Amino acid sequence: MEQIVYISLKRHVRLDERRISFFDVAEAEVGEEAQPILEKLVIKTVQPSAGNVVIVTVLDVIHALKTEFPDTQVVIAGETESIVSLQPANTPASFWKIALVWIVLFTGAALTIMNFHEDVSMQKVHVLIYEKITGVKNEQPLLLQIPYSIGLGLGMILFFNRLWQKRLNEEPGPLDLEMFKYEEDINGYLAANEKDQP
Amino acid sequence: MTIAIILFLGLSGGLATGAGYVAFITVLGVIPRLMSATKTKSSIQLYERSLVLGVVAGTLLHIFNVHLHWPAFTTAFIGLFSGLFIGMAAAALTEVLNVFPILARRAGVYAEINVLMMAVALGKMTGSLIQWIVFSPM
Repeated sequence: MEQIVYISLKRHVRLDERRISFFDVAEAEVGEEAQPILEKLVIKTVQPSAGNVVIVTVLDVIHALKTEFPDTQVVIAGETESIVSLQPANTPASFWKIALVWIVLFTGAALTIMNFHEDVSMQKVHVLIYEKITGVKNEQPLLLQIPYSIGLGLGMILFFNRLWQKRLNEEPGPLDLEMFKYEEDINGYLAANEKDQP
Repeated sequence: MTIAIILFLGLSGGLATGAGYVAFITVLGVIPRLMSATKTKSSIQLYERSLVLGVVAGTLLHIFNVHLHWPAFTTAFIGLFSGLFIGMAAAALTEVLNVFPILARRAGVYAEINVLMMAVALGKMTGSLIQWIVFSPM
């Protein structure tokens, strides 16, 4: 029986096992009777020596498909290669790792903001502003400086959209976009470099 | 003659600084983010004018020997709003430098990226508080 199968590959998948089956990497428009067969279809079994990132091209998928259904005509709709990361999906990072990174960021942020303030003579400027506004010279204008510090932290949180996130869910934060762009870059690099290997 | 030269120098220096300021603010992308978060893209001209007026007001306050004699609590508002601005600029700079994506990938933390962002924000807050309260009288 000749039929047309439309397939599209998923751009990036994380898998826990080294056996890549059909629906792990592909989406397909097929008849009811073909569905269970495709679910069992293994496209590729990755050797441990092959590393943790594998590129599955649409040709691999078609090749596997033809072994089950030699007469089908395959139409490619969408991506032609899929990047498979063989790592346990969504394992929560360990507490100590996060704690370490947290401490590094916290102390680093504290030090760099002090460097910045010294660099631009923020203390002098604050004393100057306080004097200009109130007419009183105050060498330690904490009334100005403590709200400034609170605003500093609040401004960063607001910039990353973390307080408004619930309300503005349709729009990703700048951090989400940045993460996405970075991952895309890495995937592009992997796709370009893995393909050279047989 | 010398007055003309000095005027010219002042004007061209101001032009260069002003253009540089606007260029830097544009690269950071703080204003577009504020507009998209508050959904007030139509007021873009108002925001531009506010920025220009702010720069000019700051410059005038700096170079002229004026004292406004406002009550002291008004400085708290100035501190809060200027802190918000600098906080957003600092966050934007962190983002331009790609710190978080690289860190998240290296350390393998994806879901907890919010926690890490809070670390930086709280670190900035704490660092500057320590500086003002503990270090500055020295």
